[in-house]
Amino acid sequence: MSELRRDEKEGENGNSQRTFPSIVQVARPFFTSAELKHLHSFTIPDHKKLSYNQRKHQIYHFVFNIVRVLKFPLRVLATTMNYYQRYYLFNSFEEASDGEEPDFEKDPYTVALACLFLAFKNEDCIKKLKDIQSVGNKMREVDDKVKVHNMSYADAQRKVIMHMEFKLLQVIKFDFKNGSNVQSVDQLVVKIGKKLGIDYKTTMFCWLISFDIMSTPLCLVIPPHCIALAIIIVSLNLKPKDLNTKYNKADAPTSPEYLNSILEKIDCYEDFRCPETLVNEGILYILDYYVHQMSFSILNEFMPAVDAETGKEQIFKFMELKSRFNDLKVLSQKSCNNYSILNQDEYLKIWDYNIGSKGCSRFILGIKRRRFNLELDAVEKGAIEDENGSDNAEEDSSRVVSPST
Amino acid sequence: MDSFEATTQFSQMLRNITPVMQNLTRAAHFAIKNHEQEDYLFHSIIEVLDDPNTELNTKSTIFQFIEVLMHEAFQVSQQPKSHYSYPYIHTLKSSLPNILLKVLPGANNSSLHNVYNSLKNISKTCKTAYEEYDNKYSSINTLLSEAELENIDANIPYPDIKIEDEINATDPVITTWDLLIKKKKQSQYERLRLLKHHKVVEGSVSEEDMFSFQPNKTTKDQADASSNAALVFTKKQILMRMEDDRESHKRSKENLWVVNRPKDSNSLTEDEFLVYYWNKFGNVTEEEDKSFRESLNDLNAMVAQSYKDKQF
Repeated sequence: MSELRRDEKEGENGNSQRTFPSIVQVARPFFTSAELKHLHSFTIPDHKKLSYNQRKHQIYHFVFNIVRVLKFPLRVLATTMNYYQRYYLFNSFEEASDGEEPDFEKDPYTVALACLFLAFKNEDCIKKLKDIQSVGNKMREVDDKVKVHNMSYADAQRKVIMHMEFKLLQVIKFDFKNGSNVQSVDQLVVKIGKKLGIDYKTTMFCWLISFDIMSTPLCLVIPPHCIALAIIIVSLNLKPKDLNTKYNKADAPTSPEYLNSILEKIDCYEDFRCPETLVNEGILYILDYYVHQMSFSILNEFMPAVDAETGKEQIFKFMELKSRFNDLKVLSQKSCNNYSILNQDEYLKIWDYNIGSKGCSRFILGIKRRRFNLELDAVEKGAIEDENGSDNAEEDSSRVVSPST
Repeated sequence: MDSFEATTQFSQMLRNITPVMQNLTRAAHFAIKNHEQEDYLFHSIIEVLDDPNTELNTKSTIFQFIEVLMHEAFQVSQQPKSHYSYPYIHTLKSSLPNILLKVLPGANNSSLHNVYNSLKNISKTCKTAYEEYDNKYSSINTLLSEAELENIDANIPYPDIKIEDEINATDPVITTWDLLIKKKKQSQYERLRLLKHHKVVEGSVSEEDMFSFQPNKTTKDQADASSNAALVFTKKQILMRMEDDRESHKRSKENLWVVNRPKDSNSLTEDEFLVYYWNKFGNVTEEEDKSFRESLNDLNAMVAQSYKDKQF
């Protein structure tokens, strides 16, 4: 169990019975789909599911437009969408009413701006928050000079964004690398593509898929290297020779046999350290995405409507591939299908920001129990001595506060 | 603001300039705002550079300021309905070779690298093709001629670099590049000469001695000794320079991530893929691949802990 929760007594003087909540959490950046569903059941009521999804797509375009104006690389967009979706795992999805005074806290656009704010900092592409606000507000045709809550719209919005950033840090468990120490998926597909010797067209096809997949919750389920490899495998199976491209025409198109030979040679784990179940999960998710969303995808803009070879719409290629891949071994959800297990998991609860403000919340990236040994010893010792009414309890409690490591 | 007031304020700014971006742009905007006094303000730049009391550090920063000023002047003039018509560009550009020699006086080339970075940016702003010179600059150590190598053996100082010796290229930016390359050559030459003819100090040297080191003058150099003394950095100046260079290095990295996308498209474009992905990723070496796989191993350990059930 990666969770530790205890109440610490204030002081050891005996009189005060006030307790401080305290929590330690180990970052678990990836969730199975059942866990995601469980989390969403608290934050997004059934009747809001549709509007959550619609809003998410609007937000995706909104952020992409800001990224374009401010010339950010795409990895900023990817991280922003990752944060945005994480935020709504632990916070209720609400929509601002059209009242006179805007309620920033509930506004998904403010959430998106806060996510972008944290994302570009983590991706090392520094801009001023003011610039993000002014570009974003102009896009939405909001007059940010207007007065709200006795200050200008921009100032009020800024205050909320700063506050939200702190909430967001707790949501991502202060894991600045987002559970990953490698590049973003859009870069990884090209890097892996080059390593495998895949041609220009097919690599571009992979890159376009990575853009579509950025807006989906797949980044909450499996790590980026597995997503990238899943994209590559899907592309090698589809062999997209009718993708519209204008550059590198001189390159002779790679023969399907060659692409097949690359596909056969791929060893998920040996070459790319990608556990096969995770890659399979990714493959099926991507195929499913295109079967349902092909017409809204960027891929659709670069492909002819009808496949030249089969004379059918592009979507059928994805369907056909999906039927071939139906019996892949995917993520096991044995424990996650058991409601009581999910319910017992403190990690999968709406996050209580009060713990941090009233008591103490701590976040760590990996379980190294050693770190706590001193503290745990002190607590246990303190508890025993407490029962015995020992006099030197005070000395112990000071060790709890500052472990000598 | 009258011309007297503007020049006094402006030279005050230049004398106290630091390489923080805000500081540089503030001075540049001041100059652009008062572009009607261009002749006077330009003259103050030269005056500050000529002032024997101006430290070399400040001169190096002023060169960076000139880079920023030219860039900003281009920017404001290119805006639609702008009432500026490229202020300072012509005057600065034509006296650039002169300015370079003021910033890199005599045999002191301590600001060489900063000047090189700024000149690259100036060339970009002026749309001057400079790749050829850039390559030459980077491969300078192969450029010393036979005669020059003989001179090193004979312990003859590198000849003074004079602007009059330059063949006037049509573009003063190119002349500046030529001068800069000569300067680089000079610094390379002097280093080789130093290694050859001066004794290596054995044993340890205290920090204090190291900072107050004055190059031993040989009789030949005696003549320049007095002028050179002013050019040797004090401890305070060295520390300040380290701080300043850190700042300008940070500045040079600030915009590395910028992605320029075609303006006429609202969606993802193939151009972005070609320039920022396809052309950028090359073949990985065995070593890189190994460390990539190692970092993936770490990642996998963390991923495995994330799920409730054993997945792999």
